[in-house]
Amino acid sequence: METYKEKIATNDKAELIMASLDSSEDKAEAWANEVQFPWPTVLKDDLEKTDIIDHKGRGVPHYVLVDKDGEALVTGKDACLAKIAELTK
Amino acid sequence: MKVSILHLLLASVLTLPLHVQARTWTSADGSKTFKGDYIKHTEETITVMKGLQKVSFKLSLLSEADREWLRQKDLQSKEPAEAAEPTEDELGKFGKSISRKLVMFSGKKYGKYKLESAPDYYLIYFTASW
Repeated sequence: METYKEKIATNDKAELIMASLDSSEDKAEAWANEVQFPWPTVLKDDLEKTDIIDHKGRGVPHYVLVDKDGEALVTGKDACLAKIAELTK
Repeated sequence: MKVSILHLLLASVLTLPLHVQARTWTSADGSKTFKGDYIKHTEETITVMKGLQKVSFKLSLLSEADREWLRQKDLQSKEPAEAAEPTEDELGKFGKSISRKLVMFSGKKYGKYKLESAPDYYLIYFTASW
């Protein structure tokens, strides 16, 4: 959460999108209520209706940095954050 | 054809601008007040509906408080409009794809969310609570 606040929330060239893989909206909502997620989210039932599904990995957590046309640039949390810093400095 | 006074009054009320604002106005020396609906003003004059009569007079006849209210009204009207939503071109193919499916947790439940700007990059974070 702190990393998000420091490196994404203050960066108008990048946005974090949470792709929720929780099996139901109720579960996703219960978790969000516990953690108070501050970022935009796409819920599981809608993932296949978006281009996000093209980037789904084999497990979670899974991070992918894409450009605005959906081209994957890098994967992995640290690599993504480093790339964002490089691309948006 | 006869047009009754009632018809004229009704017509004048029905054609009132939608932005009228009721207010008690005070004279410059503070000795008199009257209730009237604000219609419009310029740098020198103001127009209000006093009862069913539209009247215009010089701003200098109004109290400082009333003139300050008008100045604030001017400032509000000059404030920039809310930022427009990003266009589909600005969002790009990926942004456009997700834009209608985004939700945000509001503290109690998820609700629809719209991107306020068009970022160049999206960090997708796949996760689950299980």
